Order: sequence, then C-alpha cells, then structure tokens
Amino acid sequence: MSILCSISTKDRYDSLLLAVQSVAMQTVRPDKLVIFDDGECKDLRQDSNWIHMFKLLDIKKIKWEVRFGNKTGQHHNHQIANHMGFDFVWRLDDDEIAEPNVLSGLLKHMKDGVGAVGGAVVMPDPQFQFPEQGQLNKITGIYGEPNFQWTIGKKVLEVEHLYSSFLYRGGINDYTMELSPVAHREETMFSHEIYRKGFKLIVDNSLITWHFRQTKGGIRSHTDGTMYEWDESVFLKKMNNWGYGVISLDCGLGDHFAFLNILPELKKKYKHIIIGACYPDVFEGIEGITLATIASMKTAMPNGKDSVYKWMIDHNWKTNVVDAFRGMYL
Amino acid sequence: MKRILISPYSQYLRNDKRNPKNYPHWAELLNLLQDEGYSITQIGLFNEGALVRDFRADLTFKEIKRLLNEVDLFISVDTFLPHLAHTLGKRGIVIFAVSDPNIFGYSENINILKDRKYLREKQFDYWENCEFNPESFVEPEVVLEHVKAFR
Repeated sequence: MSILCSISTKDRYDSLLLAVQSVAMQTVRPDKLVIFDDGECKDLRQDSNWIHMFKLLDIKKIKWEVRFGNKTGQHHNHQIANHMGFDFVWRLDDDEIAEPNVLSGLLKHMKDGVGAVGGAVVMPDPQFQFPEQGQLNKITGIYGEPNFQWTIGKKVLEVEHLYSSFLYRGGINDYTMELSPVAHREETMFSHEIYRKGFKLIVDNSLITWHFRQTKGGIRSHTDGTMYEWDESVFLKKMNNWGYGVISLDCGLGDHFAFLNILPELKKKYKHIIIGACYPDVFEGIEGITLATIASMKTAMPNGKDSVYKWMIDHNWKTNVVDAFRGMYL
Repeated sequence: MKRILISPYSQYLRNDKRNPKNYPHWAELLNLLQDEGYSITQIGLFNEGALVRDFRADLTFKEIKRLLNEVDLFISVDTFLPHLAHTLGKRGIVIFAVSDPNIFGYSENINILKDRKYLREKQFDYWENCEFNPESFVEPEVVLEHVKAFR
C-alpha cells in the first residue's frame, strides 16, 4: 500500500510549513509528499526553517518533492498527483494542519468499495464550527446546506461529495480540467464523480484538520470574478448531466406560481429538481424537489442569469410567462 | 347567488408609490356587485384593509386554494392570484391596465384591458419605475358586465 500526500500552494510559505509539519507528525506517515508551487516558486532549500523541515521529512522517511506548477490551477496539480501511481492520495491544503491521527484514521475507513474518506475540516474558531444538525452532504444540498465536514464530533457518515482535504484511491477518477485557475468546486465534482462510479464516500468528523483560511495567498487567490462564474457554469452543466435540474426563481410571487406549470415537464427531464425560491411556501408539499435559498443560488447563476424577466427582455418576449420559463429551462 | 373571491391589490412598491396595477374603482365595483346580489370574499394582507365584510387576511396558499375551489370565480388585478388559480384550472376575471395580458394573463380568463395604448413600454421593468394612471383602467360597469356574462 502506497500513500502520496499532495499539497498545492501559492504564496503561503508560512502556513505551508505548518501543513508540512503536520504531515511529518502523522502517526501513519505517507510514503511521499509532493508540493506543487503555483506562486512565487521560491527555492525553499535556501530558507533555514525549510532546511530543517526537509531534513525532518528525511528522518521520518517521507520522500519529498517540490514541483513548480504551471499556474493553471490546483486541479492540474491534483490531477498529476492522482496519476503518480500511488494507491492512495491524501490531499491537503496549504493552510491546513492535520491532527497527528488524521491519516491513520482516514485509512481505517478505506475498505473495499470505499473511494474516498474525509474528516472534519474546521477553522480554529468556534464561530465557524457548526453543530451536527441535518448535514448529510447530499449533492442536492450543495447550494446552501452546511457541509458535514465543517462539524466536529464522533460521527461516521456516508456522503455524496467531499470538501477540501481527504484521502482517495489514486487514478479511479479524473479531475475536471476545464475549470478556471480558481478551480471552484473542483473537489465537489471530483469526489461526487467517484461516488457516481459506485464507490462509497465516508466522512469521520472525529478526524480533525484545522483550516486557517488565510486571507493572503492561496491557490484560489484570483480576483477575476468571471473565473468563479465560469466554474459555476461548468458545475451547473455537470449537475444537469447527473440528472439534477437547478432552478433559481429570483422573481415575483405570481411568477413562482407560473413556474409551477412547467414543473411536471422538468420532473420528466431531471430525476431531481433543486429550486432556489423567494417564496418557498409555493412549493409546500411538492415531492421530488429540494429547496434552497435564493441567496445561495445566486452563486450558481450570477448576473441575472436566473431572471425570467432578463430572459424575456433578451428574447424580445411577447407571449406567456409560462412559455418563457419553458424556453429557459426546457 | 354567485360567490366571488377578490384579490384587489398588487404588491407594495419599495418607493411607496401607488402600484400602477391597482384598480382605482374597487369601492364602486363592489357596490355594483353587491347590489346585484353577489357574495364577495376578499383576500389580502391584513394592513391592506377590508373592502368587504368577509375579509380573510394573511391566508396561507393552501387556504387560498381551498377558497378558490369554493367560489364561482375570482376577480383580481394582475397579481399572484391568477397564476395560482391557473395551476388549479380555476377561471376568473383579471383587470389589466399597463401590463400586457398576452404575457401575464391566461387565455381561460376574461382579461379586461381598456386599451393597449396604456401598456407600458418596458413590460419587464421594475414597477417602481412606472407611474399610476387611473385613466388606464376600465370603468366598474364594464367589469360588472363581464361578471354577469361569466360562464
């Protein structure tokens, strides 16, 4: 059994050092650590702290390698790690510190049929830790429901997608390479596709990785908002292909009822419908849908892409609003 | 005796201006209807105020659906009620003024529009940007004739 630890980093050499230290201090150590540097690409061998850290990795018998990334996003780096020939890949962010039992704990759950295992990934701040309440990490709850990996407890749960840091079987799935350098939702798509291939995804929230969420640097530190929009559109397309209709009703009450007329047709098209609604009461008692807040749905459809009015203006619409919804979503 | 459900008002506007979809002749129309012996139930928000004795304020959608199934027809301005009624197959009379019934109406209803010349140019603009114009509505007698002829 071989294990690779993969860290993608960008201009966070201080927290990266802590992340690497936490890898070195694992009770079960990976065979190799690979760091993909998408940032300044410093020669860390010249830095006194890093000199010792690399020596420590040698002492711990963890092979290490620093690769200068091509700055196209962490999904490219993860994809390389994914196909480096290791049985398991443990991905860790450059501002995350895993408790010493994390890798051993993740491995314990990695039985036949399990594709990936994650633990709790939480900020060291009670304000950002959530109570275990109703989080199931179903893909239908991706818009707005809190993530089970944001909780600390003693629960083991089978889930449909994973977040941030987790251990997975190498080479069983590919990352989505069409994402922008931000690689927004890359781990959601990657892990859910493992699930869709028939593997189980497990979360054990007693295995804690502390997430510093540093404000400076970071592999997603791009300011171009269109990158997030692009990635959301890639994700939306995936959701549709997986059979999930994603609807955002940023419109009036009457329009919500008008939309109801096309729901039967949408249910034929998709196995499940996720609806962001301003008036969720309209959908009371209707089965086969998941309701989300309109605010959470705004990330999926920015810039009025969810507005039936904008759609009607763009299409110089002259007939019924129900048909406009039909044109938008069917 | 025919039983009618009315939904007289469209939404409040954020700039506190009068909603251009709101019919200005409800009081006269309701007098005419009551003189003809119709039984009227009003729905709406509590703070909109009662126009008739039977005012059901702040109902749930479930309660409104039940009411719709109990009455013979509804009369409404261009608000949520015709859209809700359409999902139930319930017919009624809708008083339009500046919004286009071809877009916001349903063919099974009697959609009363005084004149297309009053339709606002930008049909999908915010209502706050549209002025109230009492001239754009039909007289209550016109509505009464449609109610009488309603089958």
